[in-house]
Amino acid sequence: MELNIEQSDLAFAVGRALGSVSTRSPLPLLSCILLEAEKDGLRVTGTDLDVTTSVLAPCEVKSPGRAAVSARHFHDVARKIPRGPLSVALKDQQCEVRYGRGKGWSRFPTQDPADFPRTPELKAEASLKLDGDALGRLVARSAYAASTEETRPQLNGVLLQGGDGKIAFVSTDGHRLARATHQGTFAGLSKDGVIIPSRALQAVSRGAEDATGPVEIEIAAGKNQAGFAAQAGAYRIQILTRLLEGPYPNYEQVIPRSNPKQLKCRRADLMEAVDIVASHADNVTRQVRFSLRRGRLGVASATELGAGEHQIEASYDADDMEIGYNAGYMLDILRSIPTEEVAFHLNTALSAGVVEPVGALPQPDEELLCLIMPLRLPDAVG
Amino acid sequence: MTRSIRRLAPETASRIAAGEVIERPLSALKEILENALDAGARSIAVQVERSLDHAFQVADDGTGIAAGDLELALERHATSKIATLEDLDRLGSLGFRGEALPSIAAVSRLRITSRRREADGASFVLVEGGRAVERGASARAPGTTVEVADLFFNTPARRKFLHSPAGELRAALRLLECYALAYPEVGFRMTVDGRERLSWPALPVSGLAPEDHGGAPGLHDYRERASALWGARHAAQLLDALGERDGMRIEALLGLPEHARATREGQVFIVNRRWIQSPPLSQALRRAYGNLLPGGRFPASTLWLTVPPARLDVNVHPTKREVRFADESAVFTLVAGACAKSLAHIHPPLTVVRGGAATEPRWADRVQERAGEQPYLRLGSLRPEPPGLASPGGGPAGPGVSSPGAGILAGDRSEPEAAGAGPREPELWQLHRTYILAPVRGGLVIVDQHAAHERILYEDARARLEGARGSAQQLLFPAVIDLSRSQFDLVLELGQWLNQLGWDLAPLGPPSVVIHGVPSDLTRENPGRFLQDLLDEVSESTARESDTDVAEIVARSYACHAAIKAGDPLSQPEMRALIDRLFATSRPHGDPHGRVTYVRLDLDELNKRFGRT
Ligand SMILES: Nc1ncnc2c1ncn2[C@@H]1O[C@H](COP(=O)(O)OP(=O)(O)O)[C@@H](O)[C@H]1O
Ligand SMILES: [Mg+2]
Repeated sequence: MELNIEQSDLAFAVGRALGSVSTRSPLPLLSCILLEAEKDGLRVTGTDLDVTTSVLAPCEVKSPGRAAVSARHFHDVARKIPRGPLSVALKDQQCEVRYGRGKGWSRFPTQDPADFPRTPELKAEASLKLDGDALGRLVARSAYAASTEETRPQLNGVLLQGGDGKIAFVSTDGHRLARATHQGTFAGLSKDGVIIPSRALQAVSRGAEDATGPVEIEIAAGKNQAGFAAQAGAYRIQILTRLLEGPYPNYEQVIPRSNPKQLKCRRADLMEAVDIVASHADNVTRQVRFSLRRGRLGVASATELGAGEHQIEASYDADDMEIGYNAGYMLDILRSIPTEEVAFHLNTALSAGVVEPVGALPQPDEELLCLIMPLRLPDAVG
Repeated sequence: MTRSIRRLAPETASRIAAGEVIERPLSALKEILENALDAGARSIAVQVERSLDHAFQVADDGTGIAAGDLELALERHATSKIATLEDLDRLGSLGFRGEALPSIAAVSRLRITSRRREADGASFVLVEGGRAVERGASARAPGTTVEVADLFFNTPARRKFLHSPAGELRAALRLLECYALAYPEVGFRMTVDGRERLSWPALPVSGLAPEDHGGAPGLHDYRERASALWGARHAAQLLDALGERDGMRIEALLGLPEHARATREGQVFIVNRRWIQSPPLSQALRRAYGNLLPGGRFPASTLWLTVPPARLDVNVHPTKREVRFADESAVFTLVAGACAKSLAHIHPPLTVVRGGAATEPRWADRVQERAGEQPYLRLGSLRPEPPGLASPGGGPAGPGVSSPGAGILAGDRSEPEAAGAGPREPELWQLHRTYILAPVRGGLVIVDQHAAHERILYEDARARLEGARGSAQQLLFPAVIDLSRSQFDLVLELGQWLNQLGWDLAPLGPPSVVIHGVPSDLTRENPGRFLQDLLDEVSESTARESDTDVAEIVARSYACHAAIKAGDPLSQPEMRALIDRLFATSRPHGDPHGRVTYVRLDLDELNKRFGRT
């Protein structure tokens, strides 16, 4: 293996691949990245067996070949090397980088690349395209609500659902739920959808940010895999992930359609109120109390750490109501909504509440819906 | 093949006598139930009035007792089941000592009404404190009814040490559950104060045709019964296991690893149709699950073992709850092997390498104390008052002073470390993911993370049980869980307490409970599993301890199961929160079981060890 490449290209490719390298793996090879000099460039791949990121960067290949080097170690050097052309070559089982026209060199021990996990070939059963920005927004508006608890693995990711002339990104941890949609025809994706692990989506949304063209999404549900590929300037980024096994809970059933009590307020006001008051809340429960009154909303919290209350203006004209929420969940939701005002559709102090943007989103072909389950307050009946 | 009742020869009687067989009301029920099963009953009805020690009766449709034998049945060592010691090697019944009826009769008011199939009418005898006070004719369909009232009325000292009636009743339900598993061809019904508590119809048992293995029911029947007991959904998830060797046969329904429990309550062992306790069987079962389960979790499974009676000693325990196998290691291999085979296709969860041992520095093994010079931590220097954590200003921080944002274990573990913790707070270290090392003025405090969290949660739980109810995080997808019979009853019994803790539960009817909300500090747990662990722990503690301060037991059990474990990694803010909260409790130095939560190592002592004095 021997090639010439720009430092910035190498650093970019290695940096992105590093994102999928497991931090603590019992297999030494999994802490490596694989460098492959091919006819169309240098491919750098990192994997933790679940998620694989590979980046193809332009370079001049003198002789093709492969080498596996310690990801962290190689990345550390690659990003510090001065800008400009450099050469990478395999000599006596060592990977040698020469840079700065004779200024310096670095050598890295290598592992046998034959042992590096093979990137499985994705035989797509369905494929669709999504604008990088849209993909990034969909992930940002949904992924925060996914579960991190190990007991229900199907909730540790985001459901990608097709049908009805749109694509929906849904996630829930059983306490709150977010669904972000984007209009378009995505023929390949069924209503049942596929579940992409949260960890893969982190890499995907980073890739979507870099993307200069549409992101191609390929799904092989039968083989339990999905792939995301995009061109980012001169680079081609590919992320391959295992899907989470369903079934995803039938969430549509739990979306209340006719909650009778409506509350509307300015999002920034409410965020400020919750944020201040939550400083007194219990750190685990993060319980804050919403007191709904005609024309206003009170947010309060009291623990042995202290107490506080904050009133904001709101449009509300149903019966007075007291309802408890986890402040963290509430802030996550409010942060994800891009409009100036938010609307709550509520029923009882124990049932699911719907939180929605008021008016159209900046992108009129997109929609957002959030659910939040209350905390039963100590003085509530039931 | 009903033999008549005869007195055992004195030398035989002396070899099998046990004496103390009725130690608690439950034992009386067990013996009477076993008699009904021995009599070939196909339908058994248990009625309890108020509590077992107050009054209960068992009616069966078995062979009945001849009028002339009624009083003989009440004599010590009179039995129809064996005649000689050798008969034990062919034993096909649960009873054999002829001791139960007389022992119960001695401590209660006992009435037996019975009619043999061929007899025209029934007859009865009424015995009080062992003396027959009335006898005569009565009316009854063929079969036997045994009524027991006022247990231990004439032994007041014994009465004092009875378990709580509710606990005893729960144990009775479990007893019936286990015998229902052993005898699927028998219908069981139980009412308490007229209210039906269980009803499991007799199953048309496929294997009872004698050409099948000796006329015994098989796995198919057991599965049917399990489904009547625990619900079809749960039963369908159980795995079959089957094995045979040297004339022994094992059949089992194995719970999936995720059904494993924190105690052995989920295990039922039936040997030759007898419900027993058996450490070797429990170990064999555990072995079969191998690394499918972490330490401290016990598979929930039912085993039916059939061994030649000659190779089984049932005469080892007064209540016949234990047996001895002639060849224990053969039994172990058979059981472990058959169960392991059936579990083989289940993959263990990813093994997470815990603790820091794998990344120990290379020089670690060279760190050795010089022999004989190792001083001990001076436990005596533990001070009852909370040691002051060194605060930025150098002065001790009082127990009530919490650092900002660190009131409680932080909910989100990925939270950036800097959040909330001021830069000048002393750093804390986690040692082997088990202990937290905290510098204090004049030394070092080493905190056991599990014990400390237990103390915190225990006080939280007590506060919630006695005062303001805990808040409940409502669930978007209410979880329906299937409980065992006794767990379900415990939910009903503890309803108010669980609600105070922050549970929002709705019993659907046995065996299912819907979880609508969970204590809001518990949101990372699997609510169903946690609830079951909690119930098991409570039921175990109530069985063990006679003083039943329910709140105390519930609080302890809650704390024990909700607390972080050794092996859980903690972030800086989490450690800080844990320590702040520990020292804000009323008794930071011990967990609710009385174990130490922290040890203090004085600087003086370190200095001495480094020769700095
Ligand atoms: N429900 C019953 N139906 C028929 N016979 C019974 C019943 N209960 C007791 N007996 C008779 O009474 C005898 C004595 O019972 P018990 O004292 O329990 O001793 P054991 O069961 O060890 O023989 C039994 O051997 C049996 O013959
Ligand atoms: Mg008996």
